[in-house]
Amino acid sequence: MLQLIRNALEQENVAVWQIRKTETRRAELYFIKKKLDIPRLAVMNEYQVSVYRDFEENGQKYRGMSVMYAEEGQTEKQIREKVRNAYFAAQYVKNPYYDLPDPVREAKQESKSDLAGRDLQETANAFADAVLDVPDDGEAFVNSLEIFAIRSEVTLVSSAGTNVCYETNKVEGEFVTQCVRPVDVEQYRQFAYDSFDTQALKDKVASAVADVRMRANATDMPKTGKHDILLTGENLKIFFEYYLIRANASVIFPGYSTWKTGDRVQEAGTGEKLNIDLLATEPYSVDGVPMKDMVLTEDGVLRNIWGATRFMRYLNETPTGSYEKIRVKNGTVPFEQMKTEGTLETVSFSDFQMDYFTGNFGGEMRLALMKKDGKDIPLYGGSVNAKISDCADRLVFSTERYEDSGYSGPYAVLIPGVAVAGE
Amino acid sequence: MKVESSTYLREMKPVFRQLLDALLMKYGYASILASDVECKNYRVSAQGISINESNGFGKRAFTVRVYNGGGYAEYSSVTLKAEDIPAVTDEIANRLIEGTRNYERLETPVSGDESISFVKSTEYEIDPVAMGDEAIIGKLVGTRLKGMAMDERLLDTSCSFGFQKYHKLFMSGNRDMEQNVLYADGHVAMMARKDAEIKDGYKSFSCLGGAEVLDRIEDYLPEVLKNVTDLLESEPIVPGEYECICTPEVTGMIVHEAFGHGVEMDMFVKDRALAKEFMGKRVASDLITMRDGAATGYDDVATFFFDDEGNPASDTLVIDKGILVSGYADEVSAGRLGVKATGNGRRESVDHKAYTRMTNTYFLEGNDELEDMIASVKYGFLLDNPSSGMEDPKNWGIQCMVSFGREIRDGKLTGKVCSPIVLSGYVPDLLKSISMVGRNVEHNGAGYCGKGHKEWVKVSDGGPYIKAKIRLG
Repeated sequence: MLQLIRNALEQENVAVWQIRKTETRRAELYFIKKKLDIPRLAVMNEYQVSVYRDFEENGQKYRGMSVMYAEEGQTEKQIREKVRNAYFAAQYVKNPYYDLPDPVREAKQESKSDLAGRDLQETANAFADAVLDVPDDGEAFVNSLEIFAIRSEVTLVSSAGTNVCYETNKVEGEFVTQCVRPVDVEQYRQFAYDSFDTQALKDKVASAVADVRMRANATDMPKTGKHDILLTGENLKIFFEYYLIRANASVIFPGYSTWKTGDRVQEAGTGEKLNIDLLATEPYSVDGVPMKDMVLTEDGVLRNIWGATRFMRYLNETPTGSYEKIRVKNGTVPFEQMKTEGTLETVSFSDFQMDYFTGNFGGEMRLALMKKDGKDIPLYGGSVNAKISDCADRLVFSTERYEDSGYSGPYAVLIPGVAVAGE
Repeated sequence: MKVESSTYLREMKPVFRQLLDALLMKYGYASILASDVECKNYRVSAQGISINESNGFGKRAFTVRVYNGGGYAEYSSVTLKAEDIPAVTDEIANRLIEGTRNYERLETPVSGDESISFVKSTEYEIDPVAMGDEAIIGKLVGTRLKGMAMDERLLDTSCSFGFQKYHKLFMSGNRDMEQNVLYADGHVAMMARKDAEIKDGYKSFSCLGGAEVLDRIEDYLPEVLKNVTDLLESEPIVPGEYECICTPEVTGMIVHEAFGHGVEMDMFVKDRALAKEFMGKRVASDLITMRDGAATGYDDVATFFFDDEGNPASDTLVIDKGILVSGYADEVSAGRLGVKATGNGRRESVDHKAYTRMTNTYFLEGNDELEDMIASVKYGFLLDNPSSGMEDPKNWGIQCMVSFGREIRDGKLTGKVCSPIVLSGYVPDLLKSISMVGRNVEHNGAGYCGKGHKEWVKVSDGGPYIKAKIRLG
């Protein structure tokens, strides 16, 4: 198939191109309570072809690009027609000229994950068994579970001579915990692991079962007003991504963000200094840039911007590729010490959101714990609505860390004086 | 004009039939759903121009479903050759079914598989492929330039258009159906800066059809400009319960996110929906009637002839004058609940699992004029530009966000704008508080709907202007 596409590109006189082939196998398991709803197996191939076209108008050089997909089973004639259409479309993609990344040729990179080499079905079964093993007392339990064990092999070839191949492995999914007394309630959680860490999933599920039990015992909403809130766990990736997005070349180039290297992006204040790294989770970016870990912010100062080839070239920066994982440096205060009298710990939101342009963040709380007289009082409902620029200089980070496939950093962040709409 | 059939599916049909016959020899039920998709997206903005095919929400692929005693199993792949059939049947039997045999199955009745056979196509006015890349990009670039010239405070005006032409083939022991559908959508958005903050507003549009949806794109510019420039002067809202008028777009979000997810009947099977206990009971004021279906007559992006499990599209009356009368169900959930499937079994793309999903979902019209509705508000807000929503079928808690609310005092818009706004509260409380309903239903299908945080499918939602009491924060 790859050769068929290359032949079609040559016959249509396309001088600059890139093909990204992705072969994916997915073993999927769906459970309702402890019974298997449906097992699924998917074996998919995708051939994404980027067709470039260089042209000039009034002395200005342009490089247009259009993406097409070749389908397994198509004839060479059919692929030629799709290439011809994409090349035709590229002449209307009138973007200023930019250089593509230097070519890379390397032997296949084997996955470093301990998920590699394992039978996908057995992997999915092992993660399912870990969840089914969490104690169920008939009152608080796992309502439903979806598990996806995924293995992908990516091959990248280009007209410039790039030829690389690598494998990725991950297990991801979601589950819902339910507690039926005294009030019938549920909690939703997602998970994603790039290692065979069934114990981590088991611990996460057990913790969520404990949380939903607290939710069932929550009878009151938080009071309307200003609260010191603790943001925890998976919502922190969304919170810190504000800094990631504002430092992206595709946002800086059109002027959506004015950030530049060396800017102080966190005002100096009494809080922790922001130290964020971007972590490479795949060896090459979608446009063939070798990826490596890099510093984003150091003590609140932006040290690097990042992004795909076109926008980084426009900004006279070296392309870095796109990042999906961040690492944030620990704080100085143990979690239990952060939970002072009156602090509101937000355990779960229905959908925590950050507006990357305004810095507004918040959402409706499904479960929160209010520290009162030394005890955690469970509360539900009400919403948080705050702006990152109003609080970024006063953040406090926990010494404890939280890890998942997209975030490595403090387990909790204390945000003082946040508006909460409740009773 | 009608959307034509797929040559690829026509050529592949004998091979799929061969696989189906092999599976029916071994299993009590077997079906094949196959698709062929053409999808292209166009966008112009300060970031540049893009014209790209997409296969994220539909691709050339097929899914086999078999019934093995206690339940179903599914196998998906991209394409099939006759010589691969033994390998596929072996993988289904020995890896998929045998590999999961240790788990106790949730009891599932087998599909009735009543005989149905048809070939149907939707209609369009302008074929986007025939219109061509140059004309489409020209229209978007022209609209963008016109927008940027309207106000010097604008940082960007972005315009997009996309279409999906999909063909699906469903075959089982007794069913043989083919459908050919074309829908299109797009948006106009503007961004303006004030200090370090950027405010944005948008207008989206969609249709069951083709490039004719672009005809009115320039007409949306003044409304979007007013919204975004008003937002520059917006203030935070004081949290509290207010009398609110919801635009049809916000009504659509309430219909879909706050209530609609709660009557997806796969949630009934999991005991995850409070609505199960409210069948036949009042959930809204008697001014409210709600329908969902791919065959409602309100054609939009979720109009089709059969769903992704081979059940015919329908038109479901969900709320009748405030009383909850029905949910909607996929094939498997309907079987477990002992009700009839409503043609709501949908997949993100053919290689994904089918869930109960909404289609075109909306409140019906009432008898009130917008001017009268605003005049009736002592103090409150006109809510506009929905930005996000999240379902809570278990507890019917509301989380919806809108970009802004326009202040109403003593029956008049004051010009003050508050932003952003989070809607919260208990769904039946909100729906029962609806005291006025506008005359005209508007619906929109430019967005996607997720099940939880994934499995995105194209839906439309809407309704008329409504007046309700809502907690805002």
